[in-house]
Amino acid sequence: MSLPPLPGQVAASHAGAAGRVWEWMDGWAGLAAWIDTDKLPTLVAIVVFGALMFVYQRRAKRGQEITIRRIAGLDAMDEAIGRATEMGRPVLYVPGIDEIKEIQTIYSMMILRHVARKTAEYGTDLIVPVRDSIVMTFAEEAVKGGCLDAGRPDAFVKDNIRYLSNEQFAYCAGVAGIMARERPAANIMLGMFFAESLILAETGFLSGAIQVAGTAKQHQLPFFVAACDYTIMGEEYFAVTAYLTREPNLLATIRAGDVIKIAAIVLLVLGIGLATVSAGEPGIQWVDVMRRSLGVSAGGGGDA
Amino acid sequence: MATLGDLDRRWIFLAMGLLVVGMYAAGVKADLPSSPYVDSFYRTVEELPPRSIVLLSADFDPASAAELLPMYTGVIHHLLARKLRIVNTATWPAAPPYIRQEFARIAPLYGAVYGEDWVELGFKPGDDVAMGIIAQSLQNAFPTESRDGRSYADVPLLREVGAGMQGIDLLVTMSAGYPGILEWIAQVGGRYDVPIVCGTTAVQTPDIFAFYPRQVRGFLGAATGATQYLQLVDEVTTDAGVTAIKEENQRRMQVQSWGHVLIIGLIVLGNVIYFRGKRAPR
Amino acid sequence: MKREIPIALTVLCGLAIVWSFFTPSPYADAVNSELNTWALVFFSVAFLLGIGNLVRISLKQIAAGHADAVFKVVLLVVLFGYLGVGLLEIHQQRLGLFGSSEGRVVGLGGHGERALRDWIYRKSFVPLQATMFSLLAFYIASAAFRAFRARSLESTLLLAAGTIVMLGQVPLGDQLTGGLASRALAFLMVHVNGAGQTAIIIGATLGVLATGLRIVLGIERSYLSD
Repeated sequence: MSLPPLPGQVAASHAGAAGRVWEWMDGWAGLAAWIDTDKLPTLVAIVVFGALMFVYQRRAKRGQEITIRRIAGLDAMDEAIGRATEMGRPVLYVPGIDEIKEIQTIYSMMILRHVARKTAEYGTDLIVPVRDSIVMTFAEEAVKGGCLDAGRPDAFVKDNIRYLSNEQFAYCAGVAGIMARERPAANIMLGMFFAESLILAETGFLSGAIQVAGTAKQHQLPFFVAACDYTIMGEEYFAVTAYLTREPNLLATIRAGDVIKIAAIVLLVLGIGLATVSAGEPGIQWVDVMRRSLGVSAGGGGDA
Repeated sequence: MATLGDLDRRWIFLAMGLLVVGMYAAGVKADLPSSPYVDSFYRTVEELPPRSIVLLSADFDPASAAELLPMYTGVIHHLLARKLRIVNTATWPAAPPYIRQEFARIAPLYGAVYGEDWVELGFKPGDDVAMGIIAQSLQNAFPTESRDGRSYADVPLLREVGAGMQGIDLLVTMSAGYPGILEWIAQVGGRYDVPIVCGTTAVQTPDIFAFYPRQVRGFLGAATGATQYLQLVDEVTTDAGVTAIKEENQRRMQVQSWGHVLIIGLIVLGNVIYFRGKRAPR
Repeated sequence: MKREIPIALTVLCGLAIVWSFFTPSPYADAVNSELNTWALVFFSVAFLLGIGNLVRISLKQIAAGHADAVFKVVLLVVLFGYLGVGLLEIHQQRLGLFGSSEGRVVGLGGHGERALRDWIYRKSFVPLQATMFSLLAFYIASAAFRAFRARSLESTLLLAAGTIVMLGQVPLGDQLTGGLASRALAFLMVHVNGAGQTAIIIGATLGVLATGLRIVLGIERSYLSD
């Protein structure tokens, strides 16, 4: 594989040096047979991200403080659970409707453990309706773990973890039915949601519950914003567990993600500037120089 | 105004219900101007050479059929009218009855022969994992076709497609959510050089703008996109059924228009109540 | 070993899938394909787990005379009835249950080998699902009335954007605004929404990538039980 030629007088020296390095690496290790070069930038980005996570994790374990700004929805969760305790009504936790392979569902299980600890401490019932049977087993483990964390293993009620249906709207109708009949005082909806989000949120509002919702599924966010008291949006959702537990692993992930985002912003601004400078001008297309330096092809290919 | 602020929600539900029923009964319909995304979708299909093979995936269920089924029907008419060949599949379990229903009705209109001009592979469970398997090897994903149970190698159209995606000239998906267009982009668009066009629900349409036009060549957004597309397809087909679906969709767009106006009116009313409440002496 | 074996399996399978994405090697494709097939098997088996749990809880509530016992009976009858219909239709030819017409098996409904299954689907499932989805139209109206208030700059922008989108999407919007609505919609969708969506996708993808990396590398173990 040889790198595509760069335009103008930049071509000669850069293409020569980079092309020679790649040819040497390929000749030594036969890399082209093992790595799809169109995806090399993606691989490099993942490796860099992983390295950053590792570095910040080490720093966090050594005691360096990593701050996370206040997230209103998270503070409201404790308030919501307290309100449910005072009113003697249960807390309803909806972990989204996707399967356990969805990252948001995994996060939801981690948060569920925290919520279960709180409800066990306060002696409040916690109802967890689930859409997927594997998620049900994880939810049982999370709630059991939370009760153990609170020193209240007797607070675990297996029948409160309810598998309703795999069918989206049947599940939605089931949850709405729980809201109408058992009238939880607090609804916490955290995970991956689809079209049922507004039905759940609006039914919860009509039942008089305080509602905290969170998802990284951007096209359901407007419905939660419209119908819930607090909404945890997008990347805030992934910061929830770090915020609640202050674990070095999780804080390091947040910090590494922020660094990558800043790098992305810098590249975006640079790219916009170069594209603007190059627009309509003959000669070197600097945006192409940047693109090829990063190893990104002009069309399709490594966009996965 | 204070009373209006405490308005029982059921009055709003009643107003919406009466408006929708009333406007539908009135039966007003009008042409819609087209959009560049619908035009791109249409052009992508038009530019395929005759006898090209299209992988058509039905990724929806009855909940989203109101938006996506008209698009799906229009696409089948368009593809068959252009003498393109269709390999159809589904990644949602509730979609196959729609596939059977539409192809049973439409394929005979164009003299399309099963096994040569179109073939039904059926539903593949597993969400994006299934899509990965389909993209890697269609033959491994579907050892037999779904209608008659014939082996993959015994179906002329599938023999021509080959084992993988190399024989597919275009991927068309009618996507209601997960799994859908975003997963097809990741599993197919990112790995294999197959152009993709899609139809989506209103909620998912804003997502697609980030992928247009590189990963997605054109798209039909919601009922509006469906109506615009059916208007274009109606010009290239002679089947009265397309005209009927087009006119039905145009009628539904008028109903939707008035529904939007009602919601905007409620928003305005809600804000008037809010600001009057703020200004009222305590 | 109760934790170490699952973690080792997770790391091996995760790295294999990631490796298959980045390498053109045919061995990687073969490993990926095999793992995907196993994943499909697990998904299918998971249904049995769910059915088992549903039956267990339903029978318990029926036995205890719960207020919802009638609905639990209906649920079990429908669940196993439809399952039975589907199984019969799949195996009817082998079981020799029905005759054939023009070389095709005549099904329980008399018109095709999947006739009864499709009839139940069309007459019950389709209207039920469509009805639930239709609730959204009513709920969005009530949510809009209650929540779309110009309390702050951000909520005013949300309100204005929502109004432009609602007007621009429908033909009446252009008629009322002299064609301005669809042009404003196009601007919003391409320039504002497109940029915002891309930014959210980048942020969310980084979050997913981070968690995925932690799970694949065995750092994140909270999904395992204690």
